[in-house]
Amino acid sequence: MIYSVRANQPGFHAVQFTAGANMIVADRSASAGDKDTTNALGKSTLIDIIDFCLGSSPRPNRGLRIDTLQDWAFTLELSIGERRVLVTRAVASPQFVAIEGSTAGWPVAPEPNGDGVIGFHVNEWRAVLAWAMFNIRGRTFDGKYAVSPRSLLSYFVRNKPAAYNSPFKYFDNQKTWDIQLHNAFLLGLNWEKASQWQVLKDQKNALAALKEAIKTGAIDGELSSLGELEAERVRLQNKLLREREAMSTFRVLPQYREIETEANRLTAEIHRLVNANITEKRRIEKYDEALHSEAIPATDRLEALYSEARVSLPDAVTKTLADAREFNRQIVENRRQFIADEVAELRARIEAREAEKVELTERRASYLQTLAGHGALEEFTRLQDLLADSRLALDSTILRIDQLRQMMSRADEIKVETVGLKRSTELDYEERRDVWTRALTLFAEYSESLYNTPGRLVIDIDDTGYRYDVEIEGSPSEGISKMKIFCYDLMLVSFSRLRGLGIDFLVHDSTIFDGVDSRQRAHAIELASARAEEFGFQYICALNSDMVPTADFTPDFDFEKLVRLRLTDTDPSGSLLGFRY
Amino acid sequence: MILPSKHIAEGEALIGVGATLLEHLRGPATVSGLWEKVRAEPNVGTFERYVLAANFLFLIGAIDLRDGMLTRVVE
Repeated sequence: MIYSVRANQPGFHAVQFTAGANMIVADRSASAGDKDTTNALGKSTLIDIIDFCLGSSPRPNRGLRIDTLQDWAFTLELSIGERRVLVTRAVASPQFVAIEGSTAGWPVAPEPNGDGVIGFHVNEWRAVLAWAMFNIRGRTFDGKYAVSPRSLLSYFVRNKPAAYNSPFKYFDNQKTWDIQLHNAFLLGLNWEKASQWQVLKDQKNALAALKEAIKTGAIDGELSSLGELEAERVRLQNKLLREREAMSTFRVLPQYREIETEANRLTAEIHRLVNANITEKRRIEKYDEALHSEAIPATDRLEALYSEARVSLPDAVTKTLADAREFNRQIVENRRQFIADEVAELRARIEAREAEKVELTERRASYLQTLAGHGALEEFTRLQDLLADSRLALDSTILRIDQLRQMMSRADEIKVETVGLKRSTELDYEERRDVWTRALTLFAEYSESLYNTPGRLVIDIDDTGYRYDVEIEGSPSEGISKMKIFCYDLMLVSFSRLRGLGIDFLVHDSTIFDGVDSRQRAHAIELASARAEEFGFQYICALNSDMVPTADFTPDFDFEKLVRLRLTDTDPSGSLLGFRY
Repeated sequence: MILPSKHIAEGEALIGVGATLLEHLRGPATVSGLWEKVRAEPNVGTFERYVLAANFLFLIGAIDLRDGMLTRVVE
């Protein structure tokens, strides 16, 4: 139970609470405009402060953690077990929570900090709250998704408008597993099942992501079906066999390249010899032609020349005809000899080349013989590399086949586990029937007292886990949806009291009554007040003065007696912190 | 055939051919060697004309055959 809320700055309107219903009323003066003005009085701030002292994690520059409130520290007086303690948390150092009072029996004991103030880290405060409010001691569960005391408390201190949209959520983006698990805990169901469900979902999602990645080729290759991979494997195995075969029949000749080069050189040389002989044979032909075409002057021509010379150039002629004949004979002989010599020379060279050609051809033939049936070393090395590549490709294909098979069997396993989990959850649910039936009954009672027809709290188990719903007959309206939350919350705190859990307070902001009919508001407040007394819990509610359904209360109901604090806007000092911010 | 006349053109006359031979015969040359040099000259034409021209030059004492080589005779 919460006894009081205080702060370290003057001007703060400290408030004291008792058992049963406690009302905070914000007075709108006549000069005030719309709803927004009364919010500045601090109704929601009070809820925020209570949440803050109960270990919330406000982000920097949001809510209370703003510069204007740098020097503020808030103190909550509440009962932990049988004893009262004072819990103080400063805006400037939210990691530390100071504790005053007896902490005997606590799972974690506070200790003096550097400044001698007794307290501990806010995480340890949360652990103490888990134990005190919900009987959660230490780490009862080793899994990834465990119950969190802060999540649980958020159903009893619904802070911020986003907490008033659905009974099962305390903020809009609450994760499915978080919703399933914490409501299961509060409804007396097996919350560990919800945890297991999320683990299975994670595995399923991871598997789906892997499959998608393989399909889109993010992991290696276009072949994605098992059939295609098996066909590829067969192809690679055959290729490997062929390459192995080729390698086993390959005979390496170490000097292969040298011999090959030499054989090529011989070929070039042989060609050169052949070409040279062709050229020189042609030259012989030309000389033959010359021999035939070179006519020599006939004797009578020579005589004619001599005669004419004697006549035309008498003084010039110094030789006799006999001299001339001899000269002529020598010239012709000279020429003939020259040609004969040339031809003989050419013939000799041609023969020599032919002989050399024969020798080189024989040599080359023997080299080619040596090379035949062998291969160079680097070719062998290349074959080895190809073989290694094929081996690698085959191994990688086999690996992918295995991976795919494993994935498929894992998918099947997950399916089986999901079915098994659903079954065991259903069995467990049946076993706990007596427990949660009481929750359902309470909800029906509460909704009936508001709407004359009993509403239904529905708990289902489907393939994705626990599923919750509340139904209250009547046309869907903002008012009804808020009252669904009201009945659910009231049921939760009542039910928790019945189960012997330590949580014994429920705090609502004025948002709970948005759009709600005046009559329902009156019923709701009276119901809360009555049940709080019956079950021994505390109901704290903040609302605007113009929302107080004075006209609809039953005659015996004294609302004023329940008001613990009035905030006004006639003056800034009338707001919770003593000033507007 | 030696001098140009009504019937023999200047280019055909042996005297021209002889001059051509002498032009190419700066130093001693073999018959084949000189022949190779002058056979392309337009007025020489055939081996027969070459020989005739050589004979003519011999007749007038312009060249001689010494050690198997055709040589100019210089006075």
